Amino acid sequence: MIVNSREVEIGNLKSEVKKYHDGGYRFVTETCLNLEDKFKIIYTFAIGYDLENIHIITDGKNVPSVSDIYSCALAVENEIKELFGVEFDGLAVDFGGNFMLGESSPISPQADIEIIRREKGGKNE
Amino acid sequence: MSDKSTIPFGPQHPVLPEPIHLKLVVEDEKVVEAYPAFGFVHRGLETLAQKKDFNQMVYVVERVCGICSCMHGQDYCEAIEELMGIEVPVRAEYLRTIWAELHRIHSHLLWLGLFADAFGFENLFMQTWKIREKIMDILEATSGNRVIISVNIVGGVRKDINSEQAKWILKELDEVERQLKDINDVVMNNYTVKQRTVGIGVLTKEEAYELGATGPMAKGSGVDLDLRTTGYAAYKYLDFEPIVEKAGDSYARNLVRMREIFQSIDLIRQALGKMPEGEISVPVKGNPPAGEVISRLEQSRGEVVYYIKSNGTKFLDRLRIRTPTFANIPALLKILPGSHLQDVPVLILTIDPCISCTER
Repeated sequence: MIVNSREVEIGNLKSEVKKYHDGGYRFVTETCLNLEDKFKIIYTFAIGYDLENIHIITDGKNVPSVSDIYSCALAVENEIKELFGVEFDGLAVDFGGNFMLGESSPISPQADIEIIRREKGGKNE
Repeated sequence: MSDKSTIPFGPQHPVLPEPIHLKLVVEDEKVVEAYPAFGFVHRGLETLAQKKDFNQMVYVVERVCGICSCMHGQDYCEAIEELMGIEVPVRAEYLRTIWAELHRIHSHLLWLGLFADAFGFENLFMQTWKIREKIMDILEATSGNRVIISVNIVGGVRKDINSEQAKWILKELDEVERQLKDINDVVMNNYTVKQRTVGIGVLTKEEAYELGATGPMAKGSGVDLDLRTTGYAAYKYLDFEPIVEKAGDSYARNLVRMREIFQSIDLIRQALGKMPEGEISVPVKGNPPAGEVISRLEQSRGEVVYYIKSNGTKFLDRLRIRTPTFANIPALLKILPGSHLQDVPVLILTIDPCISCTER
């Protein structure tokens, strides 16, 4: 299906996700995209075989975790945290950067911001 | 007096075909907590989409995982085709379905062998892998390769199955079915198998749904979801119902996979019987237009989700793959606490984990 996602303000994210949860939707996944110096995170839900998507635009800091609403979101949020460096507030289980990457792995390897910083010879924060 | 202790399980363990690490907190012989760690085979394949053109990416996604390779290629191609508005010839839809179902059979048989080996039933391991060889022979004869068959291209498929091959496949499938019926009783009614699976690792229907479980993990708990019923590829022309069991234990998940093997044989017979003559691909010109698409299909392990964002050039902006094993991790973490330590290997294999897929 062609994605037609609805933008949601970060402040309203949890209440929007709660509506899906209470409406009987199952959690499918979250997808993180680079947007120059920001990130877009798409939340995908399904009821039966139908999908619905919402998204937020964020600078990657203090993104409210939805893992207290859908506990299964903790896996993908830990992955996004490690691969993109997005910080989630209230993550049900925080694997501390050791869920998908090891201690010697590059930091935030899929985040454009980090890649640009490394290519310019800057240090990771 | 009991004390808690932490036991590392994996990444190298005799029952694990691929590396996964679990930190198990146990009290006496009972697991009370489990924490997973992945990343031992992480390859960053999604990032390659920004560096390889969209046609080359078919070969990359086929290498996300060997066992699911055909259906990774198919889902990726279907996503690009939807973005570009390409209608694939009907014969190509049938061919995709036939190869996908052959992959489902060999995936389930591979799993069954590994599962049997996990609790020491080596003879069953040997028998299932022996039967699986017939499927691998069919894949090799029809595509030129046994595992990564590379038949899908954007716009259709690159190989055809002629009438002689179709007759031979049907004959081979008759033999596979006969041999499977011989071992079916052993798989489902053997005392040892039942002791190690019935009532073990129970996941209720509500838990499976809430935790986003998919494939046999969800179907074994009574969740009636099978994306093939949405009618992608040639499934819209075939007659079948999703296979669902209600007990939610390891045994129910076994039963779903066993019954799905027989169902796949039936689907291939139907497809070979109904497949029309015609082209197997259409020419594809230009690049995918700017846009976003989500494509899903039912792999052996469950629902795989491809998200693609195109910018109008030959390179994609973003490729994201949500694999079924990734979706089943929360369910695995749910069934491990409360289990006996001896059941941990069986419970890990009961989700049919594909770590290469999970890590990409």
